[in-house]
Amino acid sequence: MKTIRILDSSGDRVVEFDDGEATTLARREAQALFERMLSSGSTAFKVNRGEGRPDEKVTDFSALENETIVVPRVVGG
Amino acid sequence: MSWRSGWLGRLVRLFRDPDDDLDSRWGGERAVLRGYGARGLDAGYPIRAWTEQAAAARSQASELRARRLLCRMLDGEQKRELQQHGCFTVKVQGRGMFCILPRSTFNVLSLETGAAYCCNIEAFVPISDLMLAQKLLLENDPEHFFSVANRRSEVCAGSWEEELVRSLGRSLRA
Repeated sequence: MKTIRILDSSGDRVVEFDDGEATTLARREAQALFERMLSSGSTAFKVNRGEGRPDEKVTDFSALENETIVVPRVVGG
Repeated sequence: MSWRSGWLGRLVRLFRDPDDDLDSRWGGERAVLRGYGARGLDAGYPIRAWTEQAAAARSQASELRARRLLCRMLDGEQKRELQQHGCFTVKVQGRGMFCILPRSTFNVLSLETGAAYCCNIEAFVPISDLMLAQKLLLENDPEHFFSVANRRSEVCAGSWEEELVRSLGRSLRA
């Protein structure tokens, strides 16, 4: 199961999906959301990658690993 | 279009005359606020959504959830700093150490130069989410962070924060 966490006013919103046949719809919805977020200026990072691998920025939905954090658009304060 | 017919004009009218009707384009889910100063005020959806999100982001439950996520994402040293000082440091390739403080403006301090940076999430989020976003950006996409952030070269922190930065600097040099 893969998890996307989108930071929001509640802390974070969780979207889960996997690559199995049974969850094709969930995966499509997750992909649409992920791409919509990125096109609106959000930034996504692969986190908790295991084996000591560092976090990494990701822009491609197919490259997502177990856990991804999506940071909504940032602006200068 | 003059400001009187724009959103600022509507806002001014709202405060001057609470009974004044709001723009019909704001329709949809409208809430009637009750109480002193809001006699039958028809609060348009954008204002309600804005205040609800702001309140949610400041609620204890949201902050607790965000704090749990932040703690899970920090390495051992950062977690220790957070528990001990309420803030933590991040190493940025080619730019040195930065301290992320638990506040919403100018909360990223360069421990090398003393400059303070302000980079906020456009949506309302708890402070711990903001700190997590800044950590991820500084460690993995610093060009984006510094291209967006506003910078103040003078030290703008209060005495508590100045002492905190000094003690962090001492422990980092030790």
